[in-house]
Amino acid sequence: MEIKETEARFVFLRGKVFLFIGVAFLGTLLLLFLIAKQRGLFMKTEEVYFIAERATGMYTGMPVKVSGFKIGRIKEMKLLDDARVKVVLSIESPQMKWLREDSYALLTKEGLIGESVIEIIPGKGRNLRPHEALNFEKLKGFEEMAQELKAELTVIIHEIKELLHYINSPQGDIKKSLANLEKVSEGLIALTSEAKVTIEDTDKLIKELDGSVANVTVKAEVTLDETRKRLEELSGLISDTRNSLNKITENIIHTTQNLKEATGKTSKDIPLLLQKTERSLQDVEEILQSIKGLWPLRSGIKKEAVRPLSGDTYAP
Amino acid sequence: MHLRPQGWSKIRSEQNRYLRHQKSFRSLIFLFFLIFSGLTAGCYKEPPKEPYRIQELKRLIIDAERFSEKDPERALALYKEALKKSRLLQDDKSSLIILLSLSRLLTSNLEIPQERIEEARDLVNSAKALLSRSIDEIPLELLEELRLEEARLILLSGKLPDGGELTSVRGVRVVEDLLKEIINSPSENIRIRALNLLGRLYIKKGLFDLAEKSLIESIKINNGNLKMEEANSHRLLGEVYMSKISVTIGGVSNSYGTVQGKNFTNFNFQQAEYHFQKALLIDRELGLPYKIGMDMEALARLYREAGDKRLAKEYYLRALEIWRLQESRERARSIEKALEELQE
Repeated sequence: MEIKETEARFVFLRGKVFLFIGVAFLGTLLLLFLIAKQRGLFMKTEEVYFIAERATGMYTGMPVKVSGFKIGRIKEMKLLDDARVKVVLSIESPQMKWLREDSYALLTKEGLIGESVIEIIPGKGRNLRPHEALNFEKLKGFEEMAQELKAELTVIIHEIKELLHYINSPQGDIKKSLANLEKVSEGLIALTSEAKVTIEDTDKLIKELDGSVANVTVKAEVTLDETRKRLEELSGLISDTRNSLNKITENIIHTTQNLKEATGKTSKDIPLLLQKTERSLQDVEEILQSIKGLWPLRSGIKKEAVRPLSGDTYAP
Repeated sequence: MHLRPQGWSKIRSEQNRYLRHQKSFRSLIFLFFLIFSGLTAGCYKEPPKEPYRIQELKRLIIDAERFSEKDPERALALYKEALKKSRLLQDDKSSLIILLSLSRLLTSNLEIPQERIEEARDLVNSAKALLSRSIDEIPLELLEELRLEEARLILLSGKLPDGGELTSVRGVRVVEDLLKEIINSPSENIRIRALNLLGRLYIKKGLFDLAEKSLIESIKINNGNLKMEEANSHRLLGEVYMSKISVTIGGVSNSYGTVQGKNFTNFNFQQAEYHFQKALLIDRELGLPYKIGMDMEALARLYREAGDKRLAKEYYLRALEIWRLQESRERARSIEKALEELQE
């Protein structure tokens, strides 16, 4: 005997259940479809590739962007026979217009420490066809920049050391120039005394003029020759001195510039270093204060009493 | 058929017993730890914390005290800042401490201008006024410190707060009264300083026996806690004995070795030399240049008094070097004058 359902709520119960499940299933399908569409699964894509020296920093699914907009992703990466890497990009067909034969794919980061992306720099040549190769460059990351900076700083420090060594070296130009200057000044002093002697000789000769004119003339000529020679020597010495002084001045200017640059670079770092040290010390003090305040330790630490300054009873 | 070695069941039962013991031991430790933590948490009562502003004020005063020797200007600024804070917080005790410290800081130099002494006196007067209207409980030690400072300023300026002279009978009595109230203080530090001040007062008045008694008492109490005060006591005692030499030989300079029949004088000389040298030793330990200069000068005066021109000149020259380094022109000039007199 067939039992009929008389309760209104249970009439067409099966149908209702199927309808409910069906709607839920359809809803789920619709949701999945929309997500897939959003992710670009139904978007027609084209493949291009580039060859990189290494795959470090790249991964399958990595976004490919133009001016910050995603236009595709890395589809796959293959290691070639020559140990290089072929990276295949999957680009949305409508976005293929950005890819030209002189376009560049750059492995870069969004910000200094942001996510790694492949950034396309659009070119001006003909449009790239599917399965054609793209140029590739890797931009320097933070670590590389730090490495380069370190290398540059090492060179600078080395140069400063060399400069100081050069200034201090007894065989260096500066020390030599100073020694030369000293010699030149000594020569000048000697020359002055010699010239004085010569003038005195001349004076004597003039006094003897009355005795023998002819003799005097001869002697005067000799003296004049002597004086001329001395003057020539003097002029030579002066030009030597001038050259030496010029050289010294050049060296000094060069050294001062180098020193200025070196001090300029270092002096910028010193306040920063001091600030950091001060902060670290403050942190350490705070930590110590906190530790001191802990219950089991606190009782063992003697508190500093606040009292007036002791003063001195023996004021003069 | 799988055969088990002989005694297998015995080994198993031993193993089980060991594991059971280990388990129960662990449980016991855990239980003990649980009870201990519970008791600790239950019995511990956190002490009441001082408000942050009070802590900040105290730290400021402690910092100022630390800077008082090496960088007095900074210490002065810190004390002034602390004074502002203490008034904002209406903390009378801290205000008193700061006012006293400021007064001592202002009058701790080698050469103290009169204005500074007046400023210090104003600070002490402010402290007294504050004390009179304070409702806080002020510790006895602080009240005694205030009296001590008052007496010290009178001795330093040579004048009473009302303008009277220290050298007058009333002046001596005022200072004596102030100090006698505190020479029996429960605080050793206050007792030592009060006795030293009393010694100074008696020296000023020419009461050398009383001064000697006070200063010896001060040295006896001081067990090296207040090194600077110990040196002060020795220096003052040296002055006492040196004054006794002059008194004994009628103010006439004489060689200590040739004073006939005056062993007393020789004893005084030896005592004075011992105490001055002791003061010099302590001041060298403390590294206080102006105190070392004073000790050298005192020794030079002693040798001069005793007629030993060589030693007198040597110590005068050493003192002169110190005063020149300290840029104390007046003192350097007075030594140059003494050296000239020695040459004659």
